[in-house]
Amino acid sequence: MKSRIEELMFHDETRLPLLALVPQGKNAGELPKLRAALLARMERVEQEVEGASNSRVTMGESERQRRDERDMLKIAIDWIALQEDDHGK
Amino acid sequence: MANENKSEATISDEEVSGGNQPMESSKALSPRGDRAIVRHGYSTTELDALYSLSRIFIESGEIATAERVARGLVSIEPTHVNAWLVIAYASLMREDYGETISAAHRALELRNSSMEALLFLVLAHFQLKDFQTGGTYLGEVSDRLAASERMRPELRQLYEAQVLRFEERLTGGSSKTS
Repeated sequence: MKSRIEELMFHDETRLPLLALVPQGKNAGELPKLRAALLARMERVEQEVEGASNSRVTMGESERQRRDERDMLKIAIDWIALQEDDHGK
Repeated sequence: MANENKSEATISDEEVSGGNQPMESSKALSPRGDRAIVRHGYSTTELDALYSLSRIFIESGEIATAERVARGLVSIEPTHVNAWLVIAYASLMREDYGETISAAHRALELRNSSMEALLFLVLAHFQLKDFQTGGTYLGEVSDRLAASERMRPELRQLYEAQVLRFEERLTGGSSKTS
């Protein structure tokens, strides 16, 4: 379901290009080449998150950041795998 | 209003990586600088590619995923202005206008020339029916345009539509977009 703001911005008579508020990216095509580096980073972050989880009861800012980083890396690695699957077909 | 933080926002990639130029001894001792530590060693290529991925998810309508990538980016590179704009966009889409304002302010602190950030502030305040504050940011965009700052046509269209919304509000007209 579309949000109210999407309704307002895309479906009124002005058809506003809200997407223009987010600048274009430059080189997603580079991502597959970075797979090995991202996997290595993922391994490091996993270890850091696991270490922090074992040593503390509450999540600190640093741990939250590591989790955000891990989340990002997982999405990127999964996306690269999907691209490789598509190209392999 | 937000102040420009030039010391962070204008550091070039070369400065971050140390570049290829011979370094003075003080720089040579710490060739990548403090910012490289914040970046956790990510290269500019990696950051650009990850941002592009976030943008791809936005285009395909996977906005929550785009935001997760952007939050990962700002966790390793808190000065990544475009990632803050993705967060502003995603929060605007889920109607979390407080978060939109917060993210747009972060972007504006880092790059005070960001028309995108100003327009996010206009949109979010208007959605909150705070036309006074939104109008202030709209006035700032207007001032910059009057000072001949460049603006992409799509952004100008967005700006002009917000001016219409604001004017209709002032004249008490019933706006479809307010």
